[in-house]
Amino acid sequence: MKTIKKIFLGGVLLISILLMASCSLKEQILDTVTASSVQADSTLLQNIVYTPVSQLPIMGEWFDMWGLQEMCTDEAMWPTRGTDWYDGGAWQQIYTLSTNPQHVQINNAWNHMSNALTYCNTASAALLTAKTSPALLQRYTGMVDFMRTYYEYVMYDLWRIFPYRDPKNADFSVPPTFYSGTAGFNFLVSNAKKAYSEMISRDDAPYGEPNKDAALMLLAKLYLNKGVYTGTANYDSCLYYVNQIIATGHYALANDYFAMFLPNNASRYKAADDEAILVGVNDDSRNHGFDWNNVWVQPCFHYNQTFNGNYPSNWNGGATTPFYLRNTWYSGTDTAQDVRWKDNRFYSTTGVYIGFNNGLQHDGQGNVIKTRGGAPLNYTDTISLTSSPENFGVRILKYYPRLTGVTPYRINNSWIIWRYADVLLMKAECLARSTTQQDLAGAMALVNQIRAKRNAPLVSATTQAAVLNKIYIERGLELYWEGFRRDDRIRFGTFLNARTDFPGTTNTNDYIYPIPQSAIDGSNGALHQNPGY
Amino acid sequence: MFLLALFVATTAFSQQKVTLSLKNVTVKTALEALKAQSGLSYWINANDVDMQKVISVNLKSTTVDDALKAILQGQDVRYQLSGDHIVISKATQDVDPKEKKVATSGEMRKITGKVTDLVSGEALPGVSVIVEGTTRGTITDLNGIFSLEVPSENSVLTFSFMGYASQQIKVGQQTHINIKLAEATKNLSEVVVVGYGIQKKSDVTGAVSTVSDKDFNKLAAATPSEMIQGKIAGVQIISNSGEPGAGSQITIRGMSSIRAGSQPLYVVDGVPLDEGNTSPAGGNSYNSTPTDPLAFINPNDIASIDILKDASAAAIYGSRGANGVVIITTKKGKKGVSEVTYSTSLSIGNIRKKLSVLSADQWRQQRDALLGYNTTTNLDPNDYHANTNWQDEVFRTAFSQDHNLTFTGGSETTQYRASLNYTDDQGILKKSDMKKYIGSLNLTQKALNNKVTFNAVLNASEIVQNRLPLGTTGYQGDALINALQANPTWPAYNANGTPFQIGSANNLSPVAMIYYTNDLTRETDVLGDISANVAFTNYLSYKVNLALDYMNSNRMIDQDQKLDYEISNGGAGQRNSREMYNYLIEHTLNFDKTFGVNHLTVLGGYSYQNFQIRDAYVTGQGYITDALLYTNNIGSGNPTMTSISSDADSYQLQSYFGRVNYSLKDRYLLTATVRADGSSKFGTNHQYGVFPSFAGGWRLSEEPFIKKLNFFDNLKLRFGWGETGNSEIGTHNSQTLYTPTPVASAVVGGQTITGLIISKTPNPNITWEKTQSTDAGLEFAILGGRLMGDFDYFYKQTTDLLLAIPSQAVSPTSFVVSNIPNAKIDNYGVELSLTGKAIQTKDFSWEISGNMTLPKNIVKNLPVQMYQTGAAVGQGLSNAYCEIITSNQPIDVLYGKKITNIDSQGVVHYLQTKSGIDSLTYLGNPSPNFIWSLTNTFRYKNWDLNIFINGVSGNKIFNNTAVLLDKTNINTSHNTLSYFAYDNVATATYTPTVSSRYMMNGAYARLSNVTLGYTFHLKNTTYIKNLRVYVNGSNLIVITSYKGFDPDVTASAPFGGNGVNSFGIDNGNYPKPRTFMLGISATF
Repeated sequence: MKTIKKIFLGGVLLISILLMASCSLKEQILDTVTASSVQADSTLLQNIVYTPVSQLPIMGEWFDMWGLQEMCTDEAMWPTRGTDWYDGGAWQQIYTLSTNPQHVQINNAWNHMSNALTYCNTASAALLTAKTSPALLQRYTGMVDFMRTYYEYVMYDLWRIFPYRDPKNADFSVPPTFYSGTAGFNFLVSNAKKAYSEMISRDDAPYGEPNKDAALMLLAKLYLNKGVYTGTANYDSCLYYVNQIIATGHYALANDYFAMFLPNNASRYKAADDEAILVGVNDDSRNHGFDWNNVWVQPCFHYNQTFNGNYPSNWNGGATTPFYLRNTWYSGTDTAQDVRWKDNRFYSTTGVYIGFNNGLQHDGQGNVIKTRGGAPLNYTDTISLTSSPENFGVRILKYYPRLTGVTPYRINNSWIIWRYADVLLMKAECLARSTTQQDLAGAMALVNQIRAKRNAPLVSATTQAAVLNKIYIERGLELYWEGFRRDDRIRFGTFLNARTDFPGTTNTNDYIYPIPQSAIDGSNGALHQNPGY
Repeated sequence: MFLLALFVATTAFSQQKVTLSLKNVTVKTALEALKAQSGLSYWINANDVDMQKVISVNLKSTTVDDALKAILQGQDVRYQLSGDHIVISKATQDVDPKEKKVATSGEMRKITGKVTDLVSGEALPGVSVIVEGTTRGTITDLNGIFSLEVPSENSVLTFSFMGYASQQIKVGQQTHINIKLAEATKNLSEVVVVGYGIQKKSDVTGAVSTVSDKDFNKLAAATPSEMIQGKIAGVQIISNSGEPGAGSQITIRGMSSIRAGSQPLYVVDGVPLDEGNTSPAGGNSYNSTPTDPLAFINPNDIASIDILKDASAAAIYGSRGANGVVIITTKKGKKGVSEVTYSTSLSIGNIRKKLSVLSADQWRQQRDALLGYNTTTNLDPNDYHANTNWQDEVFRTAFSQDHNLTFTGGSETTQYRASLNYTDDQGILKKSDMKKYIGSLNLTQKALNNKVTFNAVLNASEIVQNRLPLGTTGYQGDALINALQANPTWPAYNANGTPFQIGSANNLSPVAMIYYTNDLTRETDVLGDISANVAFTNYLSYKVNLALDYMNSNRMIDQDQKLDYEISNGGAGQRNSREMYNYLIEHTLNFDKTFGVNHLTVLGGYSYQNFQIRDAYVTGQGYITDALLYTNNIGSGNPTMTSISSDADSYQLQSYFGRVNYSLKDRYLLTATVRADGSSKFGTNHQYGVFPSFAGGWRLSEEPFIKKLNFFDNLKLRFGWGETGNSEIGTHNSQTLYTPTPVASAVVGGQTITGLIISKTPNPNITWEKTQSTDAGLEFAILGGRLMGDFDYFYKQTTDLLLAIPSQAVSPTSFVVSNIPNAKIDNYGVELSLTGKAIQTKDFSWEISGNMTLPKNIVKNLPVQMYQTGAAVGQGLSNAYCEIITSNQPIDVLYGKKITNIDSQGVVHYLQTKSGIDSLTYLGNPSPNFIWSLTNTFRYKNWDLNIFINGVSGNKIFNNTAVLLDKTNINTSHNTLSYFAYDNVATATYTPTVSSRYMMNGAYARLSNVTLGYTFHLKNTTYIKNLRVYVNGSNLIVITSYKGFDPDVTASAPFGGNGVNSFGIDNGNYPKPRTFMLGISATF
């Protein structure tokens, strides 16, 4: 009996010792995919290589890149409205060029770009080991290189510095290389050229995939602003690249100005009067996790303007300034004729125009919209940065939302990053500014080519200064709220000037934004704050 | 040798038969065996009996008397039965207390007297009376009378008795000495639960506090954490809200982590629980206040809650011990006790304090004055002509009830306890309630000649909770905020009885929100735990423990399409579910042996625990009819508006641990602990961590030189050092992982190509946070235990802080989770608890106990300038924050603009920088620097009265609710707080911002709990053994200058994506009710 007990107890002890033999602790991955599974499945390649393209619509987000390009100018102001929109002074700071390294939107924009560059690097790394046809490999490589250079250019434009990490090195604790100044400019140019050589032609490209024309436009944009970026202008090179774009014959000025921005504008791809060179495509049949807020309905329109109930919760925020209206629209064109001012094709349905909305506001049934206080809602030219009532400020709606079959706040208008009218205006500017190929008459012809198309009265100018002024006004009329105003005002020397509720400054440090403090904190001393911050 | 045995027998004692067959065992072991069989415990006068003497006995069906004789054969001792104790002490010449000895010398003096219980006044038989320094002594008789001769008037008599505090009396001139013995302070006799075992309180070297069931706060539908709120020094417990089922934030010795969480580890009957929230998340407009992770336990089943506060105690839980450990032990069946107990309570709850907002008439006056309306020519279009007090419309008197049925019983080999609980807890806000059904069974079975003990615990519960839309402060979404800011001129209801709405999504009626929302959560929990303890020898045992903890929770939220906010969506339905389980395998070996004056206990163990969590979310919108609950047919809406998602997570923990307790002469105590934890969460470079601790104790009161002072009943010094970890760092931080995600999906050629991205910046070096803590403690008891206390100094430093630091550019995420070796959080302070028995007479007693903590907290060497946290919510406050974490400041220091003056125009001026910009500055510490509580217990005959007061001071609260109710609301036809409406700030120019205007003093003193009870002594009835009736009031009075509902606030307002904790923000929290309760408990 005792022996049996001893055997039993010994057995228990033995089993327990065996159980104690340690298990290996391996992290179970349940809802994500390991790197090795990704490498093993070649069908996943295109899911990776197109991710950089997915971030293009961010360029039009009002609180992100777009805000940093527009809200610091006369075109857009997000005024404080009573208790609304103060937001720690964020919008006022952008408008008055008084941001700081803690600024949330600047921080977000930097992080978005860093993130987008990671998508590019992840894609490049996947292409290094990809087993696919050489042609496809080259096409993808070109596209990814273009996207990387594009996002680097966006950072360079805002901060004059951008990080580069070799895609071959996946160790994120290794510091990146930072490029700035002329070296940065040259880096961008050479990579854009390399991308151009590898990318596919627009003739072969599906809608939404950047093609060779986008690389040309990137080069043109770089050279257009080279004087601002490096201190040495080179308008002839810009002229070379815009001429190349024009020479492709892919583009013509749109016959219907607002049709470019309407829902399902993807259907205009390769139409005879297609202007879009680079687009960020939105797809409202799917939930993208967050819904793109491209300068549209929600952040600008009044709480009680619901677009037939499609937009039940608007925020009554941004508007444009009287300074801009006066100097660009009221003196620069005829708002009664110019098709770009306002369009009533949906007015009878919603009570909201495409383009500029001012005066008494109605709903689709013609009833006057009331403010929250109960007064009739009357949008005025007047606006005050620090204290605007609900009705102050003319509202702009360039990208009209879809009105039937809508999922609220989701849109299917592609955000146009670059388009042909800009190319023509860039050419006009180069012709006016070039010292070797100056052609003031040619420049004015291009301006009037656009004005004729937009049903605006033609204009004339003969001196270089006057021609440049006409080009500047025309850019304000044609490209308003498309995200170029900051660059334009810097290039035309008006950026620091007084405008509505901004007294003007002489501080050229304000041309660029402060580098986010978190980026400096995270750089282990490699990154230094921009001067003046 | 001569043996004298005095035996005072009771019938039961003499008739009980025992069987003992023991060979070569110590007297101690033999007595333990006898104790186990007879159910009689023994008490031995120190050093009188040689417990290590090796004996052999072979007894069959002998009486206890004979068994004792056999065991103690050859020792000069006597024994006596007293109650259910056998008292064993050295035999003296005074064999018979009544026998008069002839004085052998002129110096001998005869002393007589009586020993009684201090409280009851009843005679105490069997008390040992010994003349110090001699072998003289006696034992009191059945009437408590003693008589003995002492050598001189300098003689000192020591009276000692099991369960009572010893007393020493100098004889002096007295010849008759009556002594009242007080029951021993529970601290001296009680055991505390330490990790993987229990210890006598007197042997504990770490900072461990115990609250047993009789000291729990009595509350209607209490949660375990509420039951010990304020009871333990160094432990701050704040209820997340007054909502039924809400959890609490427990902070033990300060917040020691920025990111990894500050909640302690919960261990229920040896099973460490997962830290995850059991309630599935709601959408952004639904209540997401965390629910209580311990809700599945029936509070009536809890025997004790032990808190391991310092690292020397918590190191046995290694990488999970840094925030302290809360050990919950449930009740077990007892041998020989067969009882059925039914208890019930009924309670009524009400809002303690409503906020003063403008009445409709006051509101009209303000509107007219500000916006120029009048009653004749310029009518206010937003005046709807009613006069509604919205708080009255949403609050209600809540009726709750609680029923408990317990039966327990046990034989020699089998003991059981089973309980059933039904709780219906109504909230004071309409449509919030919780019903709980809990069944539990605890079964102990001995087998193989008592060598093996099996224990099984099964706890199953069903929790059904209704919630209302809360917790999303801001413009929409929060019914409580809307009840405060709703236009008071709206009617609450239309003529047809439906809630009135104005037809704007931006001006919601709180009544409509509640009326048109259904939010039901049904949660099922099962905790099963089975263990087998094998005693190989009397000093070596092995235990295996297997446990499974399973939770499944389903949440169904319906927002009716009639709600203004939902009209355009066509209503919304959400079904969210969460499934969590973990299983545990644990082996421990225990060695426990005494070698002379040395006592050694060694524990070694291995444990493996595997955790799994799975969530699924389905949302539908666009329904054509509300004639059915959307969630019952969620696919019947608009298919393009449906969204689905799910996630799954898993981690494992494998650990080896050991502990050595050594005591020398019961005076010098040493404890060493080590645990090696491996976690799958940690990076491959640091998968295992070792957490050691050392502690020493010195029981000064056992030293002769202290005994001589005849002052201390207990005096112990403790010192401990240890290192623990915090592994609440999330999973999958170390690997490069790809996630398919719609956010990165490109649309190319009309096709949407799902993006595959690296979702986290990997950090293969990631590891636990380390907390080193040092504790020095002093425990004392004096005046026969009438005054006793604990004093502790602690210093706790957390290093290797786990922070989301900005990643270096070109990285998948803007933050990378990393350990920063130099970044530190220091928590230090003192804790003091005192218990005094002010009055102790037969009929009346008064006991006061109190505790206080003076904590300090400071953050050092952060790698970034600051972390912004504490998202401020409200119109115009996007991206605003109210707290920061920065070096050389307390964690979560309040931060914002400071008002310098308000000028005659009512313009608010803030502190500015030299360049004239409003500057941001520190505005206070959200953590108190003084936490205290005071309990008074009175007893008069059968009546008892308990009064519990607690409070904090030194902290500030960011009153975000006040921001949402500031006077600028008049512009937008919302309501405002009265104290803002009439202050001197000009409404026209003022813009609410995070400023000192909303930083309010959070100090308070609260009359938390008053209980008055009456116990019927029903000795003569056969059926009811015990009957108690009590009334209780809780949260009765709060003295505070704080202007919100309640100064007890927690924050759940992390800012941005950095996952940094925040604290002390009033976000319109569900107010704690004031409740009155009537309770009855009957034992049959």
